[in-house]
Amino acid sequence: MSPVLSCGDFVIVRRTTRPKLGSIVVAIHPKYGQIIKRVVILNDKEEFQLSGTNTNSISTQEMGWFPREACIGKVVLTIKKST
Amino acid sequence: MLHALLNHIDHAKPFETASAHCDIPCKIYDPISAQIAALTVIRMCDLIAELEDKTPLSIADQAQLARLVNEKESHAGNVKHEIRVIWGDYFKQPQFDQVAGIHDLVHNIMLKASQCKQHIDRQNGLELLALVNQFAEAFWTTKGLKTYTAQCPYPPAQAVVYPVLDNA
Repeated sequence: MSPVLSCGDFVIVRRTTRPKLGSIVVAIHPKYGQIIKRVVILNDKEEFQLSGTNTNSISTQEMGWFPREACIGKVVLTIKKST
Repeated sequence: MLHALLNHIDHAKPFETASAHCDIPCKIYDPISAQIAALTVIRMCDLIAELEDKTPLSIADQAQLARLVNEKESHAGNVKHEIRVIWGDYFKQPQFDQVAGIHDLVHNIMLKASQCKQHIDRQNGLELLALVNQFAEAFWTTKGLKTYTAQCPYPPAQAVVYPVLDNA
């Protein structure tokens, strides 16, 4: 998620199972575990797909669709290492 | 300050973590993969040269030759890939500022690695390793680490640049 997020940054997450397009969320993936990514696709059932912000990220296709209940919450505040 | 405070709390009572899952784990870069690939190119040239003494080549020798050439080209390609990843993903403006001429060095590595793919001349492999060693030295400089040069303890027994690391 560099440069938006770097290793060791802290995030404050507001719990929700209603992800919004464009927001950064923490979600549970059956293979990758608890991950943090940006919501890039959202359908009318509130199922969603995620993407990273740099080219080394696993791809949206590799992660696939997330059901609504896989969303843990939305990142509302980031405390970066350098601040 | 807030980060430091959270860090203290995190040590005492760890927060949950969430991974961004990059293909390349965050901040893990090391030119040793490129150096080993360059050493392999030299080794393959040596083994190909050994076959030159055998004439005519048996079917098994020909199969071996095909395999050695394939490995040589594959590892020359690995050199290009490994160097491109470090140069493209790790190097940013602060690192570029620290290492004058890094772009030319990387470009020369690309050209030399291509020559290693095209030919079986050992000298090309030696020159490739020398360039990759230069790159390794530059890389470790940006990490604030000194380097030393030692002969690798396996064939082709060439000089390799290693970082000086403190004992854990």
